[in-house]
Amino acid sequence: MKNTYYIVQRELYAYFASPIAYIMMAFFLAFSGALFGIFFSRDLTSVEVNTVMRGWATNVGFFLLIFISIITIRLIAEEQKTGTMELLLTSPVRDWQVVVGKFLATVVLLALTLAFTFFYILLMTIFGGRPDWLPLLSGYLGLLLIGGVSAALGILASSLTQSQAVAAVIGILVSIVLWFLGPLFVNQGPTGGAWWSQALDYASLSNHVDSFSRGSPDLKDILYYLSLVVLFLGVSVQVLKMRRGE
Amino acid sequence: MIEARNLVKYYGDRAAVNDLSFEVEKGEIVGLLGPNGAGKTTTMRMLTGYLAADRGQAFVAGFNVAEKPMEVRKRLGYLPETVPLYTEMPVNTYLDFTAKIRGVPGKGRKRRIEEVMEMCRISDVRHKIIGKLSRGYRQRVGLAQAIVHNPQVIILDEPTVGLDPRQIIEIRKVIRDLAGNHSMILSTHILPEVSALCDRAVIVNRGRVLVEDTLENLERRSSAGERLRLEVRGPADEIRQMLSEWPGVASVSEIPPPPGQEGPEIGLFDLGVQPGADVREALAGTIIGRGWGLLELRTVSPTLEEIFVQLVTEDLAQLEEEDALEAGGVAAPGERLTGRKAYDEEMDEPTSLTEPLAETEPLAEDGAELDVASDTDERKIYPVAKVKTERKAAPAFLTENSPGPAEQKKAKSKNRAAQVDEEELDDASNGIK
Repeated sequence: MKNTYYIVQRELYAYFASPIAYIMMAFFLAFSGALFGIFFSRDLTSVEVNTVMRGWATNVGFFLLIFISIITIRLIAEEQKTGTMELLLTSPVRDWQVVVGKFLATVVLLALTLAFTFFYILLMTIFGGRPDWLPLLSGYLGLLLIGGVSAALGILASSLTQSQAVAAVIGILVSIVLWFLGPLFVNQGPTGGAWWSQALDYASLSNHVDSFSRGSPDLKDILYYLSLVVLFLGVSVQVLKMRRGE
Repeated sequence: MIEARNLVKYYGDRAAVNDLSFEVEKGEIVGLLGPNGAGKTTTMRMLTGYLAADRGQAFVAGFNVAEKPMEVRKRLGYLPETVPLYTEMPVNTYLDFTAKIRGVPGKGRKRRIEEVMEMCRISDVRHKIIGKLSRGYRQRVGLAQAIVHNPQVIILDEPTVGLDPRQIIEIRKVIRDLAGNHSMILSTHILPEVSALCDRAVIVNRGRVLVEDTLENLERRSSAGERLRLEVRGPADEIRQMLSEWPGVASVSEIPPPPGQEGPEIGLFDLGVQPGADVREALAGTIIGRGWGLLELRTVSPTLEEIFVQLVTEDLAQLEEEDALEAGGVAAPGERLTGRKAYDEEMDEPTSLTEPLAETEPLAEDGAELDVASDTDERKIYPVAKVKTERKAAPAFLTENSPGPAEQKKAKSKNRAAQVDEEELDDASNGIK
């Protein structure tokens, strides 16, 4: 457990030692802020505020996916390339501790970024908006979970290759496919009723957002996100082991 | 403390390490020696547990690397070939991190890091970002990282590669300071390093151990036997006559003096001496007694480099024979030392092959380096296997002396002019007709 903590510490250090985290955070905040401005540019009734907030959370979720994919790219690929992975994996640290440490550091960064968006909520209440707090908070939980899935996916993509460019392409493309799996390709197409299209629809990341932003997060949605995280991280650990011929 | 038992590792269907075994006792420094691509790095990675062996076992500090990896890692300090540095961190933060994950308890951690920085002579750069350090400092930070938890076993993969002679001497000092308390393996293809640091050498080639012995034994074992170098002023023919009839002298060969230094009647001789016979004293007495000038008489013992080259060359020659047998033919004499293709492919850095393995070291500060540096200029050792570099043929327009576009145009217009002339001529001749 201690080792994981040390890894988290170091990863956070690395995040804030390089400009990439600052740039991506600024970019994400600018984007979500702009979306917020657009969505709330009209006078809204309190019922409308909640529906608009739901739309905002879903859209922000997608950008979060891209944002996290980009900052996680270097996590393992870089260490493979510079040889520091050899340092970690010949120290008394287990492979999974390395992977989980990197994941948790990303989650901390993610939580920090999301915390900054509370500023918008603050603005809204100052100017008289009265949102329902329960859907709002559970919406944030949803965003955190989506970000977590994206972080795990980014780590997996990063473990597959030494080249950060390749890792970026894999990570971002798979994120996009996972997000649009249901709504774009299957649900509204001619195959809408077939069992496999329903299955694909269910596997889509965006299909599980709604229950969070409604304020009544479904246990099966939480489990869905968590199981994706475990799956991606588990595969990453196996990839690391495979590379060393185990 | 360290034991490799029949280690085997395949990359694809090529065996990088093939049935390799050796042992390192407590407190011993062993040099793992071999040309590039001999399997040194792979062997070390298997000993550290970074790579899993395909067959065979490795033991470190009494633990099986495959079965108890965590116990092994706690007792192991490892400096890989590419120094594993987080370039965005300052030196002391980096060492703090490596100490933490190596399990150095929080209480004495700070003091230990100070100690190690002192030992590796990097205290003056403790607050500097690693990415901004020079190569020599980086290497020493890497070394500090490997010893920060005071491990029983230290494995160093080419610790002095890419450093200048001054830095090499510094690193060697650090390594020598560590000797005694730790068992150590260090790999290198620089032979003076082994003479300077190690108790024992394990010479590997093609993934196997060729020879494993102490340095003295290695030097004794060489088939070259003992040789004498003799420089005498006097009548050359008489001297040669006397030397060849001397009991105990097996062979006499005259060495032509270096150009520009031919003195009158100075003869340089290389004598092969039968084992056990010490002819120096009697020989010197006789030469002086006859009134000749004895300028130099010294024993030449084979150096590690000669032994190394001899072993590797023999190994490759054997490989050639095996290949020839397999192919059912005899290898062409010209290809004698080039090795087979598979061997060539192992050589990962073509440039390193064109440089001498052992270079002279102008800056020798202490005795160990001094005797190494002596007369290395006459035996720069080049690796025996050479990579055949296949160059793509340059496109035709680069190699041929083809005219540039402007000239081409000119030539064309000239042709046209010639054509016009011909037509005119034709016309003219028609007109004549």
